[in-house]
Formats: sequence, structure tokens, C-alpha cells
Amino acid sequence: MENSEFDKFIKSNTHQELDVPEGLDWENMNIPLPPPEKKNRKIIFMLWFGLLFFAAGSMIYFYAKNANQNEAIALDKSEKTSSILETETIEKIVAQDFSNKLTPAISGDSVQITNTAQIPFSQKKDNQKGLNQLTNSTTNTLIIKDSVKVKTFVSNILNQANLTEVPLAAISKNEINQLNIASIQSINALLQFSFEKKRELNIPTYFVASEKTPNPKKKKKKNGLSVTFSFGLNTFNQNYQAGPQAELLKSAEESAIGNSYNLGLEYHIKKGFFTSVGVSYQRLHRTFTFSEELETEINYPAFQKTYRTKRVFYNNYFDFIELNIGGGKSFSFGKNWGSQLALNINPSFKIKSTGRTLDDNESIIDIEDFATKPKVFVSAGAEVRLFYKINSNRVFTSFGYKQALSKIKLLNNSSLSFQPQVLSVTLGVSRDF
Amino acid sequence: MLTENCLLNHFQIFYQIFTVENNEIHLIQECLKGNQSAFKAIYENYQGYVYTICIRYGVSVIEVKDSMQIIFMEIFKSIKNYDADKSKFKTWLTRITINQILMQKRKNQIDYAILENEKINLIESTFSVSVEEQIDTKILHGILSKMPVKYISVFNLFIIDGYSHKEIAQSLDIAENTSRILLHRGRIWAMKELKVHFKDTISNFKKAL
Repeated sequence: MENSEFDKFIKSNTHQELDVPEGLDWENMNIPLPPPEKKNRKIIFMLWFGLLFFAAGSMIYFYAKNANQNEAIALDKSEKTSSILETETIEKIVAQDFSNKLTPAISGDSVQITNTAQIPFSQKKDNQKGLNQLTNSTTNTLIIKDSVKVKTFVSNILNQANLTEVPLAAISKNEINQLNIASIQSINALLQFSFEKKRELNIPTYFVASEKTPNPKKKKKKNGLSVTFSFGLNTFNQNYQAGPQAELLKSAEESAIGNSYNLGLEYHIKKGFFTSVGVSYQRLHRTFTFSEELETEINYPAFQKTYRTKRVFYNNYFDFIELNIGGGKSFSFGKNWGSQLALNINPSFKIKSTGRTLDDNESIIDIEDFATKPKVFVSAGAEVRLFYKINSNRVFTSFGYKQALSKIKLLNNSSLSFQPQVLSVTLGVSRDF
Repeated sequence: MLTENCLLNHFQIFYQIFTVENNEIHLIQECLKGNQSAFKAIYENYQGYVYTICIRYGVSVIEVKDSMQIIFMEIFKSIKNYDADKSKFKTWLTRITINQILMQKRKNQIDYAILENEKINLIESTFSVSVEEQIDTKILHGILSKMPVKYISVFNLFIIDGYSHKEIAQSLDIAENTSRILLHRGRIWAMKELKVHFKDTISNFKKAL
């Protein structure tokens, strides 16, 4: 008989429990019991409350900030439009030093102020759509989506200029309200997310007696599936790779807060390792602020010199859907706390990009008019997640970084390309099955 | 009709397992709150299982009460560290029980040193019995519990509890080779004893060792 057969024979005949002799019942054992576990629930509650308050507050703050910026532009435009076009007066808003813009020929001449609203705009660049909108119109019917600052400079008054913001077509308030409502709805959706109620359990009276003796050598795999949902805030760097305007764009653009919605599945393999697959909608956000000098008008009889500067502020958005494929490892800190480290590869599908940018001639253009077709690109990244376990639910927050592996062309008739680098913070829940 | 019965049986088994696992979690939560009834429920459900392990590892009837008291004290003390995601409660309890028994045995300071350099003499076993053959569990436990203390731990750890020689070597602080030797001797001892006791019961014994 081989050893393995003998071992099987012994094992199969020893798995049944023996009858317990008298004298070993609970009352006779006098086993000292440990004191109840003292959990400082107040501190845990306060920590969590603080964390959630901070996260929710941050989200609301950033959304409110972005919404206010849009609103402020619209209000300025409507006010200035009426004051300029109807009353034909120049308001002094900001005095700036324009001495460096003086040409030597006229720097010492005395001039008079004329009504700048009557000076026609000249065409600077025929091939630019934005400017065509601006220059092919008369003053009173001038239509442009962005604000234009008209600076009137009087050469005998150095260091002073009349700067008037002339918005020539205000964004309708309805459009702005729609944007704000969409933002608020997304926050509400997160705040209203609730956990499933804990299942009630009964005190047991029996156990399965036929359960085999556990075999540590052949541990059962603790496989499981988790579903995760998270909402995130992100910020990104365009990381321009090519294009003559790339350097200028770096100074014109600033990081802003975007958002993301993520839905994923995690399959836990063993020893804390897991694979994951998911889909997420990402909206990357940057602000574009650019002042473009249009042309200088000199009224020779009066020796009046007028600078026109087009100042554009716009929220640029880059929307895409990405597939998250990856894996990682979980680590436990005590009973309820833990963290996950994950590496992902993300095939992404660009949906649309909106806002303003510069073309190869460094002139402001609407991205949508020149945007490339939706296309696929790939990015890769890493994510660190900190979670708190409540039975089979987890609440987590995560920090992630990812970068596009390929260059993305932004405009059709331009060599401008970029490789987004995205930093993100998410707050989410997951449930194990 | 047969299919319906099968489905019903499967459902009942699934429900039973599901209920037991959930009840265990609930019991543990109650223990953490200091509920004495929960401690009692755990003890009553597992006392037979722990008692059987003690007997298998050669704990004498005189010592078994003290051993069980120490084992359950350790289980209740460590219950706050139990993680349901990592293992079943019974697996976790088995580990603690075996560790406690080995700790108690360690105090007896068994000398394994003389076996370090001994080579296993591969004697072909002549004990032959069908794996499916069922014998009286109580008597078998009685026989195995009388195994010499040097062999009994390795024999139980390897054959019944499924530890590897590496794990046994770490647990008992011995060399892996020593573990192999002890197991081999334990097997030979068990075969001899079984042959004596079950000569009439088991039909297909070939010949005595």
C-alpha cells in the first residue's frame, strides 16, 4: 500500500468528531472571557464626517467657482454692451501703463480723444474666422462671442489709458444656467447615493457537522467580485508636444478642475491580487485666457491712437470615455482599513473638445470649428486607493496619475498635438459579491 | 420530479451554508460586544471539534480539560483579529487549536536532535486496506493518540491537517528532513498498531510487518 493511500485511509476515518465526555460542558470549564472591545466610535465618526465634509465642500467649491466665472463674463458683457452702444460713452475701468506700446513718432504729440466706438475695425488677418467675425462688421452691429477691450490712448497723458471692456455678444443667461444645473445635478447624484441596508441575521443554533477538516496546504481560493462606483475630480496638463503656438499656449492656459464618473468590476484572485475592468467618463478642464492685440488706429488730424485688444477667457473641455483594464494588490491595515495599488492601461475614445485655442498663426480660434474627428488613444497610469470596509461594502478615496502614451492631434489644420497628464482624486463605494 | 428534488436539495444545502456563515459572523460580532451567550454558543458548537483535535495530537484525558480551557481562552482573546475575508472561522479556529497544542508540547521539550542526520530507510509497506474501508473512528482515534510523542505531531500535521514538511519544520523548529523521518516512523508505527487492532475487521491485510 502506498503512503498516499494510507494517508487517505487515515484521513477519511478521522474526520468525524468524537463524543465529548462529561465535565467539559460550558458551565464546568470556567473559561475567562475577554472584556468587550472598546471602540472609540465617536472619533471614527468624526474622522469620517470630516473627510466627507471636506470632500463634498471641495466639490461644491470648485463647481461654484467655475459657475461664477461663467456668469461674471456674461454680466460684464451685457452691461458694457448697453453702455457703449447706446450711450456711446467711454467708461474708465482700469488704468494701465501702456507707455511701452507707444511708437516714437507719436509719443510726444498732443492729441484729443475721439469717440472710439465710431472707429471702424480694420482687418488684420483675413484667414482667421474669429477676426472675421470681429472685423467684417460695423461698430454698432459688431458680433463676436468673446469680449473685446478697446484701449484708447492719449499720447500727452503718459501712463494712463481708458480701458473699456466691450462685449459684443453676451452669452445668454439660459445657457449659463443650464451649465450650472448640470453641475449641481452631478453633485446631488453623489450625495444621494446610499448604501444598501445591512441584512439582519439570526443567532445560530446549529452548525454543519459534516464539514471536512480544513487543509491549510490546499487553501481555498478566496475569489470574489466587487462592483465599484466613484466620482472624481481631476486636473490635467496638456503637455503640448508639437506646434508653433505650444509655448504661448503654456502661458495662456491654466489648470482647472474637471470631473469623472467611474464604474468598474474587480475580480479578486488570491493573496490580495486582483484584476479590474471598468469604464469611465472623463471631462478634463482648463481655462484659456489670452489677450490678442488686434490693430492700432491713429486718427491723424487729432493725433489720437487707439489700441484694440481682444481678451478671451474661456473654459476649455476635453471629453472622453475610457476603458480601464488593469490589476493590482490589496493591503490590509487592521480589520477595516486597507489600501489598493493598481496599474491600469486605458484605451480611450475622445468624444469632443470645446473651448478656445491658438492656431499656427497664434490667433484665437474656436476649437470645435477645427477639431479633429473623435478618435482612440491609449493612456496608462497608476492609482492608490485607501478604503474603509463596512461588512461587504467599502468606502474609498483614491489618488491617481495617468498619461497618454500617444500624441493626440487637437486641430485639423495645425500641427498642434498634446499628451495629457491627468491627476485625479476620487470618492467612491464598492460592494463585494 | 427527480430534477425538482435535486434542485430543492441543492437550494437547501446552499441556504444552510449561507445561513451558517452569516450566523458565525453575527456570533463573532456579539462576542466582540461581550455577549456571554455568543461565547457559549461558539464553545458548544466547536467543543467536539477541538476535543477531537486534542485527542488526535495525543493530549491525555487528564490534560484535555486544561488544554481546551487554554485553547478557548486564546480563541476568545483573538476573536477580534479574525477576518472573515481571509479564511473560514473553522479554519482559523483549527490553526489556533493546533498552535496551542504545539506550544504546550514544546514545553515538554521533545529532543528531535538525534534524528537530524538519519536517513530514511525506505521499507515497503505491507499494510493493505481499501481507502473506502470504514472503521470505528473512536477506536482509531484511541490508537493514534497513543502514538509516541515524537511522531504524533508530525503525523497529524502532515496526514490529517495537510501541512507541508516546510510548514511542519517551521512550526516545530526542526529540519525538514527530520520531519520526513518522523512521519515515516509514525506511519510504520500506525500500520503496525492498526494491523493488530483491526485484524478481524479489515479483510484484505496482506501480511504483518
